[in-house]
Amino acid sequence: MKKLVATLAVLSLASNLLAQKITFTPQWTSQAQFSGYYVAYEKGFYSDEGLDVEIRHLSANSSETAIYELMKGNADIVGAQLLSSMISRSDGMRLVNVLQLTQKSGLCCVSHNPISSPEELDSLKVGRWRAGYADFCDILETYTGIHINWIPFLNTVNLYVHNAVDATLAYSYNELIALELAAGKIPDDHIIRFSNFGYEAPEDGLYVTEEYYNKNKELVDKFVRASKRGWDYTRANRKEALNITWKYILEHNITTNREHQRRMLDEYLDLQVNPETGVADYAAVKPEVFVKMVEALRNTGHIVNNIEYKDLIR
Amino acid sequence: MKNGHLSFSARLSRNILIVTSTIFITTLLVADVASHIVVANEATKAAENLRDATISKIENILQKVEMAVSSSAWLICENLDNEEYLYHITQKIVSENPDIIGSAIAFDSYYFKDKIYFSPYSFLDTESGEIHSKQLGTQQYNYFYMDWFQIPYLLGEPNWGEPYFDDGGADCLMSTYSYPLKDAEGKVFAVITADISLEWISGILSSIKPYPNSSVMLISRNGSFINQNNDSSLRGETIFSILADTSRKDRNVLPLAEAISQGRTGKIKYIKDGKASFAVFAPLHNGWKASISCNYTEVLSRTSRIHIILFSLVIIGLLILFRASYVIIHKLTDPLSHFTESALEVAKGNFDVELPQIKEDDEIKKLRDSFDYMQKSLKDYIGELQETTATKERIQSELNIANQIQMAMLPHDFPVTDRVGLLAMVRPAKEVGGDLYDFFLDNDKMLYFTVGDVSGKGVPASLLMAITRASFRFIAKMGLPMKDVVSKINNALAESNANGMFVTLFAGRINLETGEFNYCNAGHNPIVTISPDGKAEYMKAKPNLAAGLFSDFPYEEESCTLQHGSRLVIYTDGVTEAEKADKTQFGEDRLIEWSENRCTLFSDSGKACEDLYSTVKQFTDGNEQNDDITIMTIILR
Repeated sequence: MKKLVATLAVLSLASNLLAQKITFTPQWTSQAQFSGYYVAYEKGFYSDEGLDVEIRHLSANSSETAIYELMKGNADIVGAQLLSSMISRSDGMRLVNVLQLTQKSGLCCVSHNPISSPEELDSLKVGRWRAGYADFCDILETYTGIHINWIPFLNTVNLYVHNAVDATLAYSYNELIALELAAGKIPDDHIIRFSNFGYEAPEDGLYVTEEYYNKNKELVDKFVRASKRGWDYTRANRKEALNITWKYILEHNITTNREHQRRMLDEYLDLQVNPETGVADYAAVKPEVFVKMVEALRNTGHIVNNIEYKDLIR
Repeated sequence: MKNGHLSFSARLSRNILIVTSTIFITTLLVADVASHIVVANEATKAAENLRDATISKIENILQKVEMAVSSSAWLICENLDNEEYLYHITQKIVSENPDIIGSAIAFDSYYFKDKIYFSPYSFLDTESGEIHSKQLGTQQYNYFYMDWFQIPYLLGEPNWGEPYFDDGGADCLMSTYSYPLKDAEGKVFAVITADISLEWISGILSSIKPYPNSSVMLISRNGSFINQNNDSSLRGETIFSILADTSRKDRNVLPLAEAISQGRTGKIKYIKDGKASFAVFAPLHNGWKASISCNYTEVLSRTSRIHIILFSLVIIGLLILFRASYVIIHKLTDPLSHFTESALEVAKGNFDVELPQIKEDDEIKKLRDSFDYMQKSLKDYIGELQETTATKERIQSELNIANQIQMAMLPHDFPVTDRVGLLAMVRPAKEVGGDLYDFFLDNDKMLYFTVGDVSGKGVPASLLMAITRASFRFIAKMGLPMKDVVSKINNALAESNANGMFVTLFAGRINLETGEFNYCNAGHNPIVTISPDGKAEYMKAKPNLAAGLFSDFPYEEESCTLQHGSRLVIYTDGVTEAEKADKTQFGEDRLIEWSENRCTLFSDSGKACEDLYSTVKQFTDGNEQNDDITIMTIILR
């Protein structure tokens, strides 16, 4: 018996030593947007694949992006938005998309007054995130032919609740919820979702460098497989997933509240549902949508060099 | 209580208790509800006053800060060319206002040539108590995107910023007041700020405790808690996030959060965690909102305690009332139970039982007197009744004796020879009757017989009957014709008949050898003759007149010859006039029918008599006999 225990202990130690280490950096600080990865880690789905994953978040004060961390070699796999990754690829960063998580855009605009179309934002003061999103804003103005007085912000909620802006950009799974928890239910006719107006660019996906992918394709596949398993488990066990997420939030000393995270998880899981199939199938972005996005980025001057679907999407 | 039934006093006491309890409890409940409403309203008013006082206290300090900043604006505008003095102004703001722990004058980018950022800033080092100054803006600290600069810059008006936790120096929750400076064209070129610690607010709010579990909230514009120093769990929460769980199951919680958030002034009743509560709320001038919540259980606890005591006292009072009323009623109604015992004694015949004495001149006394009167009346009545009964019993006894004497007068030695069989019977309707019969055989050859019916009934009739029967026997034995026998009886009776009584009489003599039959009828019913072949008929006879009415009435005698085997049925009208309950009489036809069908069945005249009597009785079917019945049957052989 003692021999058996010793053998098992040695095997276990060897397995740990043999586990392949991967550093994963989500694109923002700890929140329910990343529940699936926390769950995959906590439930041992990564270990099951023989992976030793480290989830390393960006610092709240950091001005760097996850793609930057990827290109610097500080992370093996990162979370990023498709539009940013396309621009980065065009700029010469050789990164590839290995999983498309969300299937439609969560971008929306919240206004103090009723609004029915993006065109009504013409000449208004509209808040937007200070970092990034210039691409989206330019596309919006170009394709609608309007001019918006963009107000960059660090904090979405305060500018809006203090009436310093007429409207503000928001993600349906984050800022929209924060606004409702700050000021109460926002009427539906004060919100427009850009996905309802032809904006087909889905957002979050997983990215690795092309070089890393070529060398560790099997490893990446394992990570993607375990991550999908984590999200599937999250969808089926939301309460447990929320508790796991809350543990990470406390560890990272993030100021938020459980209600915000609960609603975020629900909305984020909805964004993962493919509108065409009605299920969360992690489908890759469609080539025709990809082409449209490239065209929009070229028209707004955000990319100069052409990028091919096969270069970015694996 | 006896045999499971409550006594009168217990029932009366119980009914009094039920009525009184209903009145008391209803009154208590109404009083309870009314006092709860009054107390709840008073508590709401008190909470509103407390809310207004608290807001006023906070606003005083906020306005002092606002004044300190705004009053420095002209000084800044006068010294824009003197950078050093601008630092001095921020130091002065901090040093002269104990509530302000930091102050900055943040200029728009490139307001000063070649300077993207320029923001003189002074702050109080809480450890050393010294005031330090520095230039705030850097590439890393780009204040143009900070709320305290951006919001007043965009709005062009002063603004109180959202509370933030300063873990860099003051290590406490803070808020920044920002005041925009505008140039001649109205464009904001700088923002003056004053940082204040919000600990004092927590101090003020924590001292407000209208009730032990009351909660006081001070909410900023973005719904976060300004008094979160009191409760670290509130960090990161907003009014909507903390109420999210309860708003899904409790009542009116979400409308309350919305009313507070929208800066309305008012009060709302709601249920949170199953407890009925109310909240009073109002906004501050800077967009913050204050709210005080109290739960009704606490508000009404004192009143409820008083009501519990009151309720307990009422219950005790009602029990005492029940006991006291039982005792009093029992005492008052005690004589009634004695009356019951007395009534039982009286019912047993003890009329001398003593009644309880009543002192009070009330209904019980009247009842007692009535009972006493009834007792005496009963005693007298029963005495009279006993006397009457004794008299009646005596008379009855005498009548019984008279009946025996009367029956004894009639002959009972009925002749049964080879020539003749005779039997007669009398069944008086009363103790003594007026019917009679008699017969005797003279030398076994001649049979004398008579049947009579005296008018009236009872003792007078029985006396006349006795005289008539004695006269018949005496006179008939003289051997006179039957008309003479009847005439003499008539004369004998008529002579001493002051009361006008009379007797109908049928008297006959049969020669048993020849069958010659002589007879005289004195107003009596015709007799029935049955020939040997069984044919029955009423024998034709002159009725003459009843005996005893007129002296010397010329009675006529008649005669016929009877064949051997003939039968005679002599009777009084008690037979033919016997009635059923419906007044139907036995009648002459039924007698003829009986004579033909039944009488001939019997060779023994005694059995024939009994059969006729039982046939009549069967016909009357138990109806009372009104007249004497006399039957005589004679069978010639």
